[in-house]
Amino acid sequence: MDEISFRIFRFDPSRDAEARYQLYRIRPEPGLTVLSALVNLREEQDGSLAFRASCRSGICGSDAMLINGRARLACKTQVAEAAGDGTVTLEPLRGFPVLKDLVVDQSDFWEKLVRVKPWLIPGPEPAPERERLMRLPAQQFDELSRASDCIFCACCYAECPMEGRHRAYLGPAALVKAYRFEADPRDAGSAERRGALDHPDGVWRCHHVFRCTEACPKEIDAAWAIQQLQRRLAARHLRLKGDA
Amino acid sequence: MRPEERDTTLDVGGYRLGMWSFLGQRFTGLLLTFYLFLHLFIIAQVTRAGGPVTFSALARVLERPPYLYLDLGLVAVVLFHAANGVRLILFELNMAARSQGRLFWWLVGPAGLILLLGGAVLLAGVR
Repeated sequence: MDEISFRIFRFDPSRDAEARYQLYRIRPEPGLTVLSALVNLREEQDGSLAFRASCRSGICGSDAMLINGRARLACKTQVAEAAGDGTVTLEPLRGFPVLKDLVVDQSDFWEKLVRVKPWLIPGPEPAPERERLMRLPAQQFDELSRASDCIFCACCYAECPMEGRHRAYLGPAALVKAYRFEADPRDAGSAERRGALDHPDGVWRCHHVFRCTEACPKEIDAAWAIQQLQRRLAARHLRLKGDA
Repeated sequence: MRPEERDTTLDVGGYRLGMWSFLGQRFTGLLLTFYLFLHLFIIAQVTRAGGPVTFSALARVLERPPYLYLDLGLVAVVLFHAANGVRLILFELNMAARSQGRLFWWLVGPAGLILLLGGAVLLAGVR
């Protein structure tokens, strides 16, 4: 394959007043991923290049970045596919504070995730003395397993225009996690989650742009999950259902 | 540019269907609101200025090109806003949970067809 250019967003807050783009040229091997190219660049051309990565196989969610403007995982993107016109542009995820180059501060993302209490909250029945068996029928597990696939890469946050406009919005990943437990028949934590979900910056901030669904590298239909939460809360407000 | 000055709302990162329909719905909504005020303003002015005679005179001007093309544009805006609005309502009601993408084309497509056919008939009548 011919030589291609990597145009990479560079910013070091301890030295730079403004961000800049630096050009690197590489000759990619067939099958090279954007992440592998970054590793090569750091080892062979520029040791100061900062990016976050771990598993290299789309499981850890560390290496989400803007590739030609779209939030994607660097390890799941082929250089040959991304370099359509001979240039691959890499930038840090939108909407997060830039720590250095392609590394962003995700504190806000994790804080929002905790706010929806993404764990199973058991009902009021007293805990048995020895152990509590909480089995889920296989069919119901299939329903929840998609939402469980989230790897917290934050691609959906970088793509969502609502998240971009209203930083307080809980955002797709946190709401997908909330849906995963709200839809779980073993969970009894709706009342505890309602404060965060039934709020202008909770499920109601979603305006169905579907960019989260389009961007998710694990193909989770985040917009659908948010809409399911909206329906549950709307039914509650309209008193169509009991205190669910 | 400071990193925090990057646009986080409308950054052009190669929009796909969802973003285009979202922006389209807002843009057509604004156009229709603007048109409604324009419509009421003109009707009010004509009614106050001269009654039926002025109204008919103005109507004869407005039913010819180039105003006819503007009218067709208005119909296009209304059809898009209505068809995409129906899609969003169906999604909200959980009747298009997994098919909202396809539904866009199933609703906006026929709307476009209606516009083309209706427009052709209308323009043929003018000539």
